[in-house]
Amino acid sequence: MLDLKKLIICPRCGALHKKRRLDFGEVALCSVCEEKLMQSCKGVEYKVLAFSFAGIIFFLIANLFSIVSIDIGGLDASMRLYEAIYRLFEEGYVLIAFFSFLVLELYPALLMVALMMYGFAMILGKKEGARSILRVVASLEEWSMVDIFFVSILVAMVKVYEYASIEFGIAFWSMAIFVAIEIYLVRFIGTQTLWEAWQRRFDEAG
Amino acid sequence: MRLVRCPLCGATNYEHSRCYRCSSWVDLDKKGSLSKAIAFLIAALIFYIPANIYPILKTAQFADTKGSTIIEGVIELWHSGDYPVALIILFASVMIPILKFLILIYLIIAIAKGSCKGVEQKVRLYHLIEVTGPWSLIDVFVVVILVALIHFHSVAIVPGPGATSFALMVLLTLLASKSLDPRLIGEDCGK
Repeated sequence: MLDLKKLIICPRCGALHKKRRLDFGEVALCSVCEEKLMQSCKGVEYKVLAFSFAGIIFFLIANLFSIVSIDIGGLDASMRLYEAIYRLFEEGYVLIAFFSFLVLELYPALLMVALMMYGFAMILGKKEGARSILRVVASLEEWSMVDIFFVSILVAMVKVYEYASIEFGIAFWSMAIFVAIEIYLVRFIGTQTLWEAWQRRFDEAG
Repeated sequence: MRLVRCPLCGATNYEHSRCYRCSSWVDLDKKGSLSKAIAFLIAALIFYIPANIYPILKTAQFADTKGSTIIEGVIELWHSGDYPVALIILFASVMIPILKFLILIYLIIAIAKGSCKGVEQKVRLYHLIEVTGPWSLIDVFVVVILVALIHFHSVAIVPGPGATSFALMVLLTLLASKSLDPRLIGEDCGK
């Protein structure tokens, strides 16, 4: 029998590789197609804990304050995230409102909380807890769409800037930081690395 | 015994087992994956039609209401001189959905036939639609934002019936590409 824990299959071309312990900042590439296989997971739980905590704070600010206010010849209006979603609900577009609520409010919030809990579980040595949280993270990460919403704000503003004066609120900038944090956690670190860190923490004796 | 990569956590496992790391089933389910993907794809194609012929936005100015479809929105942006944004929307709302349909149909046929040609390109195509797919939602969120911001007595923007169809179409194509297992591409080829 092979030691499965020491093997890794390239996600792109399927080539089988033997794992090697990576130094801080090192990245392992596939020898056939040069796809990223794994990266060093040293101290990743502390990074995840710090960044997800910051993410939660910026997410709260992005929700509680006005994202953008406009002024069209004396008529002014401002928008908060939940107000925008509720307004669509009032218009009778329940499906889009519900979908937006999931991908802009619930999933991103749960994702950040789950990542923070992963950090705590790893530091406190809760093996099963960290495992079930990681399963949640893996199924949530693709369904957070705050980044797309952020670009949509810019596109919407391009559509109105000719006849309105626009002022971006504090929530807009917080959302930008939240998106940066989320991209760092989900794309740069990634659940793959979190699983490797989990395995190294709990499974390997040496 | 063959080795497979766990679809959830990426650990290496023997086939016909539960993943030792995250305990999800690691087996490839060709039939289930294909039929789910085909079902979502057909549903998405059906919603594609109303999504494009009905307006996604309506501008109500005094007694006068004017709707605009996705294509009209792009043309409007182009005429007002915002070429980069017009191109982004053209790409996100028009090109990506069409590209996604074509690539998904191509991949489904290739997997069903068990084709072994250009496996690497096919995997790359799959990742292309995985990454670009959700960005079609830009137009839906633009509707959310404009509807929330512009609702005065004299002028108001309200959503149009096309918006729901468009959102559903994007959601269904996302589900279609997620239910298609990329490990099936080039399965049994030179292994």
